[in-house]
Amino acid sequence: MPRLRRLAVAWCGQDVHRADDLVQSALERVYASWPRVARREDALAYARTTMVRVLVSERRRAWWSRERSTDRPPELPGLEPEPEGSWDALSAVSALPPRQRAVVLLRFVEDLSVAETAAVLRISPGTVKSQTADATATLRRRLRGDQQDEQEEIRR
Amino acid sequence: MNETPVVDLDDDSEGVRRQVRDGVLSAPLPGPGPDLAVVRARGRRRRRRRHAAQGTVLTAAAAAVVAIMVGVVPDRGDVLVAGPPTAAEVVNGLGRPAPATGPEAVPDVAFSTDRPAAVTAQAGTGRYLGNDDLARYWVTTSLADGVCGVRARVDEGSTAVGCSTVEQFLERGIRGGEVDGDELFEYVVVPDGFDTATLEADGYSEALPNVLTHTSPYPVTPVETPR
Repeated sequence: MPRLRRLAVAWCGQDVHRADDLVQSALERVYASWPRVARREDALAYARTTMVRVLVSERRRAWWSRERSTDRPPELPGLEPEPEGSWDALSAVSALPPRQRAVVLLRFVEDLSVAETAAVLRISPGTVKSQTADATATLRRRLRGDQQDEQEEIRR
Repeated sequence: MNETPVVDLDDDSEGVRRQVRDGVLSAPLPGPGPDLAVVRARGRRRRRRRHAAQGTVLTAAAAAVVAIMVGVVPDRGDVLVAGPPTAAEVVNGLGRPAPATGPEAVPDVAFSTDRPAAVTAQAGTGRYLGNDDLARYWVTTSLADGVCGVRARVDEGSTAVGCSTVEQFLERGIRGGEVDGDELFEYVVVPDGFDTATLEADGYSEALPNVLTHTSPYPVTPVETPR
């Protein structure tokens, strides 16, 4: 489950609660299909694929745009993530468009091939490549910008 | 002099790839993660619904839910709780916009049985457990014997607040966030004297370390399930 949560957190940026909701939705689906899933050798891959599809489909749901969770609900000591350096990459990833985000997470984090990523997302390999290229260009720009700012800060 | 190591991102995409991968894999994961008891309960329900849709299986629980669904149209803001198949419980008023403080902020909780009620709220996590397409007005989740998942509907324009204790939950009504439209929130109602060790054994408290148990000091009024 930690692996699924990391993917969801990367998808949702710093909104860990929303990420947990998404992981939960994915696990529900896996649970409901467990008799079939249990016979597979790649149950984890099945769960990952399910979650990625949940991520994409949840994005389309109406409530997504209607509800705005408070970013800092009161009385939550110790439950909010502490922003650290690692959030820089997460923030950059979570700011990508949904499909690019999914491609980046599957290819860069889960080490899936182009063909495997295409199968999970039900898109063509060509689209995976182009989305990867676009996402990489965006990430390079953003992350390099951060690093340059950091370097200038150090020089000062 | 300590300098932050800089990945040469101009070489190729490997730098970006490594940075993203390291960032994701090293990101802190606060909190316990999803509630496995809820995952199980919903997974079972989802499976039942699928079977029912296939016309092969309609469990007693699903039949009870269908009966409630066709027989009751709750008013806006009302919350109808369908617990275990043998018990239907109604919680009124939780969906009203909750005053921030004061005794008037206490929701009118009414159960269809005359037993005192305890509330185990998913307090302190600041998150709701999610929605599904079946339980927009009522609750179908049965987490354990006598334990119901409760969904409260928040009226448009109301503002819900986070609560870290059950007392605050009862004072303020609904935790959550600012809501533009109708939304559903959840907590868990257990009978008074319910052994929460059952939930613990089911992985519940492990998943939700901030679950608190509270015996409601507020009167419990028997009501009839709306028809």
